[in-house]
Amino acid sequence: MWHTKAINELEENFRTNVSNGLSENEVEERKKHFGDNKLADKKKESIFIKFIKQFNDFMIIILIIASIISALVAKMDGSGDYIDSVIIIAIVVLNAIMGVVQEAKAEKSLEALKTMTAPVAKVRRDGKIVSIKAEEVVPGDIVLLEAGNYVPADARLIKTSNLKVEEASLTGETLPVLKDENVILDKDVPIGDMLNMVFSSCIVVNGHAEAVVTETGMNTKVGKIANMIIEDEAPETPIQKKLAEVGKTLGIACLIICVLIFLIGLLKRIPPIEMFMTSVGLAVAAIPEGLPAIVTIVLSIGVTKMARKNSIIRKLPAVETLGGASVICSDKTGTLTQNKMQVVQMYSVGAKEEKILELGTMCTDVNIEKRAGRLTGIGEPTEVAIVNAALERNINKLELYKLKSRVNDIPFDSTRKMMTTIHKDSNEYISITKGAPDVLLKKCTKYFDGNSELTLSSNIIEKIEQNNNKMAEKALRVIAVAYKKVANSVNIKENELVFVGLIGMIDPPREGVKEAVSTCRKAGIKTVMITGDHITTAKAIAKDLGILRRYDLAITGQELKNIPQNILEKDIMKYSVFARVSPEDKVRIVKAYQSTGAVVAMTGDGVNDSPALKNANIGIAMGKNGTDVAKNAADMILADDNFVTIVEAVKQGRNIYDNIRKAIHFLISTNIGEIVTIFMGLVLGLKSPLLAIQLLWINLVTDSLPAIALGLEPVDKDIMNKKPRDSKKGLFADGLWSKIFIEGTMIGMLTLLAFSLGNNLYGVEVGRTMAFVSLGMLELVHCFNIKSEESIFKARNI
Amino acid sequence: MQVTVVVIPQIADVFKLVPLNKVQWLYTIVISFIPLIIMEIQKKLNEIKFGKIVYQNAKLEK
Repeated sequence: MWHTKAINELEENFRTNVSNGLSENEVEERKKHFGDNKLADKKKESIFIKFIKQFNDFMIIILIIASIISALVAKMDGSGDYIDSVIIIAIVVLNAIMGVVQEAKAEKSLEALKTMTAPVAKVRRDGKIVSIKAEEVVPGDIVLLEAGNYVPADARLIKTSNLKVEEASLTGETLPVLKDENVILDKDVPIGDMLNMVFSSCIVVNGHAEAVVTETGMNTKVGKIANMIIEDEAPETPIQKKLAEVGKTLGIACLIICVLIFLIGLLKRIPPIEMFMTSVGLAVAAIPEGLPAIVTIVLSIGVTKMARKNSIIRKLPAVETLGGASVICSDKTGTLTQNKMQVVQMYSVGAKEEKILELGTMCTDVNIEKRAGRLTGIGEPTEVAIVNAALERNINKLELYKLKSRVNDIPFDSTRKMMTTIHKDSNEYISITKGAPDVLLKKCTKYFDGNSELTLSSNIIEKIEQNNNKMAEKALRVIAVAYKKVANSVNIKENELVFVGLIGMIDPPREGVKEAVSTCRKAGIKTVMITGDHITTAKAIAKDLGILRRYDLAITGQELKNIPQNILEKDIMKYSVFARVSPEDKVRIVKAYQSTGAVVAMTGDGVNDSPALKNANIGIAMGKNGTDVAKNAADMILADDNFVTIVEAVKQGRNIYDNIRKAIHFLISTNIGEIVTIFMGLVLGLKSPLLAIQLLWINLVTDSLPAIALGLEPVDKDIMNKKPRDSKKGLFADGLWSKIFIEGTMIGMLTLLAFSLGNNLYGVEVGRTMAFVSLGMLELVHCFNIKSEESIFKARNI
Repeated sequence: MQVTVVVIPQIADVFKLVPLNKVQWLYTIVISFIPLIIMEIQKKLNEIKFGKIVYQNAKLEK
């Protein structure tokens, strides 16, 4: 019904003020009254329910039945030996407790990640604009919206500028709706026609606006459509899916073997209850039911570690894909470079650098603020670079303005390519002009040589142009500075200027990027620069960083448009730099790299980058400068927008994948070892080498804990010296299955050897004890063998 | 933990294990370390056969 109200009515209803917003006290009160602005989470299971759920497992049920049968037999034969039953139940309970603890740990890690990726909202409170978590928005808040934002709550618009909102999540209509704050609507208009309202979870695709929040949380339109709740559970990763399948197959195979062992035991006249307990113990010990749980733990702890290093994984499968990345397409500005222009070179025909900076800094619209104890410019990056360079030499624009106050200006426009400020100096006026050198030089008739103004001859012009070209070749952005004395502050013409100097600046590479690019090269990963910047600048930075090397090519978006997709796919590996490209071109680039079998990671920040981020194997959104839409489309968010973090994430991704493989290798091979011990013992006519409770202990203690330890191994020092994993290769590629079988058989046969030795020399009890100790130690030694492909005496991790 | 189960008599009784003498421990340890020797030999042979598993820069630059 808020769409039927005028803006002043809303102010009254919500006791808010459009220009100042709510006060902090008011916000606190409303938070208590309305609660958090979020959709109700799925009801969380209590620890007790989680504990009970641990018993909902086929193997555990068999164990409990076995324990009951064992107790009944003990009662019937009058032996009163209930130890087996008690131990089995104790182990089952211990197993359930461990399950609950592991589950809670994984859940906690994923929860922490969810908080990190929570969307933010810009609101006006106490007259100031602040960024807050979207869940902290309350009714009456004045919310500021811009392209790329998710609307944080239902709100009535109070100010719009070409605002278009995509409301597909509510109306199913993907075409954005142009909004208008001025219309007052009838009560019964459908949601799609509520032009003066915006709704929670819809996307702003164009323009900007201000709005009064009318409903939050479950009271919003989306909240009322209860089933549209944002997905809560992490999807299964390919490894988890594969393991669930493998686990099932192995489980069935184990059960068949257990039945076989039971039958063989009966044929050999071993007491049925002993054989039954052994078979059950073996089934429980041998079936790798813990595999998926261990993978989940390794993945969730791994992503938490990655989050601490600024790479926030939004979709778990991305961790596996990251390890196989073979091409990283990165934005230039802000990711490879600092997104902070710096003055690196100046040129004049005699004038001091201080003079150029003095005039340059006066001819800017930059504000100066004290941040972190030092003065710094705030404004357009090129102007900020000039002001900061001046501040470094103790030339403060504000101090200069006190002496030569700014009385008028001619703002910059792209046709003139220059701007002018007019200052009053005692009784005279001076106009300062800065702009593109090629344009400005044509407006100059004199130059300042440090002492006086001299006529600008063709020789001097040529000299200035040469220096300008030299700077441009180095991909510097060059600004020329000139001045002239004028009679008054109005009707100033930008001609007959006195040339003072050239200022060359560049957005320098971020620290560590060059090394990271080199690491990528060693790791078989191609780094590609994609930028909207000019090709000369892109090439210069790419060369500096080692991205554009001999035989590599750079191409512009315009040239790219003329290349058919099939030709592009054929030649794509030759290109390392794409300049002046649009977000649409990015999709073509991703697809072309993918056509070669490459696993592509792609960065993006804008709304239009979403298709490229979705198409890439790993979409990476910028945490600082990225829009909500880009973040939502991405698999991973870079909290610091830094290329170095991507490389670190690839390293961690490789490590996590390797560790999961190691844990699987260990678990399955040791399980096979246990089966071989019992099966071969029976086949060879020996007594059962291990009792059920002994097998259970081995399964619980010596299997799971080393597997988790392997899963959490630190990064191997050579991990970035290997080629990326072939994406077509499965989890058990490179002979892992045969290794598992051979090593498992070896463990089983050696345990049997220990049993036979003890059994023949000292009796069956010593034999079982020796088999028990040997199996435990063999598994431990096996764990060390798996740790590294290098000798365990050489292997060192970093 | 495995060793603890064997050496603490009360726990060993529960698991139906008996104390081992020095010779029996020696047999057990020797058997347990056999895979270490086998795997070390295999790793060495792999290194001789395939070289160190390191991606050479030179290969990439070609």
